[in-house]
Formats: sequence, C-alpha cells, structure tokens
Amino acid sequence: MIQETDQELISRVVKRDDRQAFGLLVNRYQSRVRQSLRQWCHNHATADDLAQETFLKAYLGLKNFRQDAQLNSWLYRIAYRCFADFHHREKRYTPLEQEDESQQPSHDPVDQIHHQRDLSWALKQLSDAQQLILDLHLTQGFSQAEMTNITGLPLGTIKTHILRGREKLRQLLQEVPQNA
Amino acid sequence: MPNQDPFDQWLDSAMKNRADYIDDNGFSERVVAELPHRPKLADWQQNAIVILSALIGCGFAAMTIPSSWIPSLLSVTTIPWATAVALGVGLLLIGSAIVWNDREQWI
Repeated sequence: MIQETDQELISRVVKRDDRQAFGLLVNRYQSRVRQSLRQWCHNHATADDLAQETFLKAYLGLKNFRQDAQLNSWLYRIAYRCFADFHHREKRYTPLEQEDESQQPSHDPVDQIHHQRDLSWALKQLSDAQQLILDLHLTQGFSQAEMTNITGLPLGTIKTHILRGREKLRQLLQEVPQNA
Repeated sequence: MPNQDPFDQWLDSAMKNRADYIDDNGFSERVVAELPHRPKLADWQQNAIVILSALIGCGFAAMTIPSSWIPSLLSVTTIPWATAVALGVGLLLIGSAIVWNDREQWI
C-alpha cells in the first residue's frame, strides 16, 4: 500500500476536514513529539497532555501552514510553545536565554561512579535549556537554523547551549566507551 | 565527520539511539475525538453572511430615519453626535464580528 505524503494528508484535512487523514498525521508524528516532550517535562502524563494540545493547535492552524515548510519543524514549534506556556503557568519556567547554573551535578564520588556511564542521568544534570536544545539537535536531528525557528532563540544562544551542554556531558561521562 | 572527537561521535550516536519509538496506544484516536467541529461553511461564505446581515440591518435602520434628517445626514458637519456615535458603534460591531469569525487564523 502506497503511503500518502504529508502534503496529501494536509490537503485532505484542509479541503474536506478529513479527520481520518489528520489521525494518520498524528500517528506519524506522535512518537517523536511525545518523546521530546517527555524529555523536556520529565513527566509522561504532562508530556502526553501537552502533545495532545500540540496536535489540537496544529489542527486549528493547519489551513495556515505553508506547503513549502517542514511539517515536523512546524509541529515542534507548536510543541515548544505549549511547553513554554505550561511552564509559565506553573511558574517553574527558566528562560532559555539564561543559563541555569543552579542545577549542579552531584559531587558525591559514590554517586558519580554509580552513574558515570548513564547518559540519562547525565542529561538530567544539564540546565533545562541545554537538555531541550541537545534533544532537538542530537536526538531529533534539527539543524541550528531550524532550532532558531522552533524556539525563537538567537543562533548564538543555541550554539552556546550546544557547546556548554556537550562540555558538561563530557565532564560527567568521562569514562564512556569511546568505540561504542 | 572524519575529524570529530571520539566522545562527540559516541554522544551523537548515543543520543540518536535513545529515540525509542513510543507506541500510539490509542493516542491518535483520543486526539481525533477531541478535535473541535469546524463550521460547515467556508470562510468567505461566513464573511459574506456577516457583512450581508450587517448591511441589511443598516438598511432597516436607515428606513427608520425620519426624512427630515436626510439633508443633515448628507452633510457631514451637521450630523448629530448621536448618529455619529451610532455609526461608529455599528462599524465597530461589524469589525468585531469579522475578527471573531476569523479568530482561528491568529493561533
């Protein structure tokens, strides 16, 4: 069976309000969006609620979606706004422009040895902004230019987050297997 | 990248590999069930109805104006303030109706 392209499905949604076509789009992108939101939120239930909000907003805004744009990047832009709004509402938001140096890694030697090779643990030691930017860049594969579009941050800030995030991970994961 | 640092190579690979697929498990169906119902009419049809209704309303209002007012209304400088306010409010209502009708475009 030939899989319909994103553009064909979008066209069915916009022209005929075809909900089944929108369901196929959700099914196609739900994993990536939910996975990233889970990384950013550290809470699966909240992340899934935000993912649902993301797709509802996408449905309402789909008629304004430019056909030449990347749907993936556009969805992430909406997801990022939902995430930022949620944190503003919860008053737990750390502006991404600022480095959050309050989240210092544990200096307990036993704790460090125990978690030395644990990438998930190391990522949690980074600031919210660094985690989010590294997820977008390294896990989801967005370019730096795409990330400026998604987050609205200047390119220089994004580069700084990537550099500092990598450096911090290097410090935390000093003895990772280099040929893995 | 051939000259990439070994740690960076490992990190890139490890970060890509942590992208495990999340099963849908009914998520798509839940989203589709929550979708708001779109109006049956196209945008231009909705706008046409709003504008036509406003014009018909204005027509009825004009018919109720006493004929003795017409010379005054034709001269902008002598329009009574109450009429000017009424016209302003009318235009504001039409504008608000159009904006409300198209509100989804500003999401």
